[in-house]
Parts: sequence; C-alpha cells; structure tokens
Amino acid sequence: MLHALPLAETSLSGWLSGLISGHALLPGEAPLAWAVVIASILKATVIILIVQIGMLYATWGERKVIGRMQDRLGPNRVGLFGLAQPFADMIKMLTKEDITPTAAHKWVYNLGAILVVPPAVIGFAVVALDRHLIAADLSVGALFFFAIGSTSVMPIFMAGWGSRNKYALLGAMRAVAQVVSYEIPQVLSIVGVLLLAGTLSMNGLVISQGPLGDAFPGVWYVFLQPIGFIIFLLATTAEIERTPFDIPEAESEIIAGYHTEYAGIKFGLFYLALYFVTISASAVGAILFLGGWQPPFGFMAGLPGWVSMTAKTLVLVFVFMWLRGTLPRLRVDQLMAFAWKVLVPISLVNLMVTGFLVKLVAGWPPLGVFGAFAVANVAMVLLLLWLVAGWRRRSGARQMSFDRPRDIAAGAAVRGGAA
Amino acid sequence: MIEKVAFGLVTAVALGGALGVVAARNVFVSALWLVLSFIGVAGLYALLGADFLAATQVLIYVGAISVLILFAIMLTSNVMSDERANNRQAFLAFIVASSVVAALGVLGYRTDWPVTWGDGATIVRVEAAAAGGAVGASAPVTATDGAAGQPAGNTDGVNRDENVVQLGTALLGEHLLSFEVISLVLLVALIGAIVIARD
Repeated sequence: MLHALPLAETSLSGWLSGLISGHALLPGEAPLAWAVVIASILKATVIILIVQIGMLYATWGERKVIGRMQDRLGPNRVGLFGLAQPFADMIKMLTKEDITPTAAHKWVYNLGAILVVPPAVIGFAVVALDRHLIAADLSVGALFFFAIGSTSVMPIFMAGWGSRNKYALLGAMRAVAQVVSYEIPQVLSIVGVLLLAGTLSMNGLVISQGPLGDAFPGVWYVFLQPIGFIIFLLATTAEIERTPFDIPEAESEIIAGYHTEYAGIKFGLFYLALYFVTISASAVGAILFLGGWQPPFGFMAGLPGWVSMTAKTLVLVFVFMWLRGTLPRLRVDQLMAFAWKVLVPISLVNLMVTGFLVKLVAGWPPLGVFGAFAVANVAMVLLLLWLVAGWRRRSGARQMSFDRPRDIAAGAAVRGGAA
Repeated sequence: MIEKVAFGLVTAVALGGALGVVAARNVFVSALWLVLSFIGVAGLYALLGADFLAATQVLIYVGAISVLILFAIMLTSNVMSDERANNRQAFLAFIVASSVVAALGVLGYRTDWPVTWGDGATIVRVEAAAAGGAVGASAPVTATDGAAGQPAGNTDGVNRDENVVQLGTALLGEHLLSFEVISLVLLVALIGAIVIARD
C-alpha cells in the first residue's frame, strides 16, 4: 500500500518522519517509510478505540430500542438511563470462567474465537468518516470491504468444527448455507452503484454523489438505485445474522449455533464481532447509497462531514434493530430460496438495466437522468409484482409460504424446484 | 527495506501455509492452512501494486473456494473424527509436486516477462510516499500503478487507480475470446451441477 497514499496519510507520515529524523531515533535512509508504519499503527489504534466505544453503546442502544418495541424499559439500573450497563456486562464477561471442552480441538476452538474479530475490524480501514478521516483510501476500497467481509465465515467454521458439538456443527453449516446465499445478491446489488460512480474508492463514491460529482446528478444513489439499496439491506441483515436471518444462532432451535460451547470473553468476542460488522456494514451502506460524509441538505454545508456520516450510519443501525424487533425468524430453506430465487434474479435485472441506462443517459441534463432512472425503477418493481402474482396464482399461493421443510444438507434445496 | 520485510513476511505466510496443508494430520486443519496460504498470495499481489487482484484473490479464494472445500469436508461422514488423512504415497506425491514446481520454475525463469518499469512520475510518487529509494529501484513497478495516465499531484484526495480500468479493457478487448470461453465453461458446469442434482 506504500505506493498510493492519500493526502491525510502523507501529512501525518510527513510530520512523524520529521519527528523521527529530528530526534535521530532510527538511523538509516528511510525515516518516512518507518513513519508510514508508525502512522498506520496509530490509525489502527484510533479505529479500534472508536469502534469499541461505538460497539458498547450499540449494545445499550439495541437493548433500549428493542425493549421499547416490546413494551419494556430496557436496561435502566446501572448508571443514568442504564448508560453504564455495557461496562457491567464487560466486567461480567471478563471475569467468567474460561472453559475449553475436553472433546474440542484445542487450537481450532481457541483460534476460532480469536480470529472472528480481525475481519470485522479490518473493514473499517476503508470507511470514510470524513474526506480526510479515512485510514486507507484504497483504489479498490469497496471491493476490499466485501472481500474482507467474505472471510468472516472462516472463524465461524473453525468455531463450529473445533467445538466438537453437533449443535455447533449445525450452526456452522447453517452459517455457510447463509453465506453462499446472501453473498451473491449483496455484491451484485452494489455493482449498479459502482457503474454509476465509475470508481471503487470510498471517497470517490462519496464525491460522485454530491455537487462535486461530474458524471451524474448530485443525488444519493438510493434515489437512482432503490432496488439495489433494498437488496443490500436484506443481504446485509443476513450477513450480520440478525432476525429475520439469525438462522446460524437460532437459540430456540440449536441453542446458540456455532458459539454454543464458548463462555466468558471468548463468547464476548463473537458478540463483539457481530456488532462491529453491524456498524461497519451500516457505514458502508451510508457511503454507497446515502452520500457518505456529504451533508443531507444544501443549507447544511457548514456541517462537519463526520457528523453527517455518523448520523447516517446510526440511522442504518437503527433500521437493523427495527427489523430485529419486528420480524420473526425464517427457516434455512426459506432464506436460501428467497436469496437464490428472488434476490439474485432481481439484482441481475437491476444490474442490466443500470448498465444500459448509464450508456443511454450519458450527457443528459440531471432531471432527465433522474426521470429515466425513476421510470426504469418503477417498471422493474411492476414487473416483479406481476411475476410474483403469476407465480402465486400458478402454485395456488403455496410457493411463497415454503411450507415443506427440507434438509438442506442433502442438497434438497436445489431439487426443490423440480419436486 | 520495508518492502523487503513485508515481502519476507508475506512469503513466509504463503509457504508456511502450504507446508501446513501437507503436514497437518487432519483434513479439516489442512484446509485451514490452505486459507492461510491463499492470504499470503493475496499479500504478494498487494506488494506488486495489483490491489484489485489482491482483493479478488481474497474474495474468490478465501471467501468462496475455501468455503466450498470446508463445506465438502463437513459433509463427509467422519468429520468429527481425528483420523489421519495421509497415506503411504507421500514420497510419490513429493516427487510429482517437486517436478511440477521445477518445470514451472524453469518456464518462469526463461520467459521474457513484459515488465514495464515505472516512468519518472511513478518513481517520484513512490519515493514521496515511502522515501525508500529501494522501492522505486527494486520492485518492478508496473505501468498499472496509476500514475501513468494522470498528474502525480493527486489534488482532490481521491485515490483513482487505472489498474481496474486496464484490467477491464484487456478482458473485453484483447482477451475477449478466452473470457467468453471461460464464461461458457462455467455455464456448462452450472447446468451440469443442476442436472446431477435433479436426478
């Protein structure tokens, strides 16, 4: 990454290299190269601290929000409004007994808990909180984020297999079935945005949605890509394993899935990672579809970028809590059928229509571009509704209720269409 | 200096992972070592300035292919047992593998790779970034480094890399036939899988 540094990074590194060479701490020919390393470590520390605090209060916020939705109060005993509750939970987890089951494969079991956190944290490296508040504005930022996200299933596999417990193994299998279902629509849903922006860089994506953008009208992509946004939200709900897609850890069916055997802080690490991913996925959703650090309205131009960005991220985090408080859990085969038979075809159609429109409307005035996308989106939604209606009529309204449980492990989900 | 340290680390990860694959007792653990090796290869791509390939390597090999391998292992009947996965053909396998490596090594050494050394602007930018003269001199900075088509003073703070654009143009231009043939092969594999699953 040394060959492509954005402005903020070089200035911090430049200051550090002056510091290093001025005090002659490190002899040698390349103080700036070491300064880049030190600056990266500093930035990683800051990210982890900010995200950690954000995660602690996301748990508090979630318990409050879900509590209110279920006509309860939520935590209110420890501190004002229960604000110290996350710290009490933390102390509880750290002081609990650390258990490794005798049957477990020790290395895989313990590494699974440790390795579940890094993929969740590394994604934050490309999250742009503000124009210069970004750890690494990679030229392939968006792709980097989803590539790192796709590795997060490995530690889950390790945890499920290493525990030597049938419920843990079942949870891991469900997690993988879920990953192969949501990952394709998730990546396809953002390709439309990437086509419009013509860049994979996070700052480039944000800039292309504002008055500074040169290619398309300065509107958020949620208005040009509403179908992509909804698919992204649904797929991300599956990624962060929240109801209605919390199938791998469905506690009423398989105890706690892949982390059944973990106690104390090792369980805490799984909990931590899920909240990290919730926050980072919301932040990336805000960057891709909601204009990132650009202020929402013109008259707010003086607002610091990180304020708009934080507000947009929190709105998306709230949407995920809202979904969790509202909807019941789906079955494994329902999720797979939904992802493969509904989300993948829609996102493919959306991608083709967007690609066609990008070529068609090049050079049109902003209002014309917006109108063309509005017409295309309405047409796609109507087509979808017509298809679903026909599907339900032909199958006697039985298909969408998915009322025959199937064994996904036997690969029956693929056969389902023929049976 | 830093480049060399990073190269050493990444190579150690890739080779150590590969060694773990053949040395591990359990086939599941072997697959986990393979993941580590894939990550090391992604690191090599990143060091060569091929960011897009590095991200794709992680997305495809770690996120998809390894998951499929582990999924297949988990569907075997004795997934929970600690049975030794190796057999007595280790020596034979060693001979085959080392001859393949030797053949590839000779081929790679003899091939006249079309390496384009960085132009002046690229090296200046690399030196400004890392100030290690070693970077510009020793690493084969390819023309895909991004500085080729635009001024080095990246004024708006956005990191635009021509890497992806060049890759896309090459795939749909010069290599269109192979691209289409590969997509056809994948389609046939997909249809075949569905046919087998329906029988």
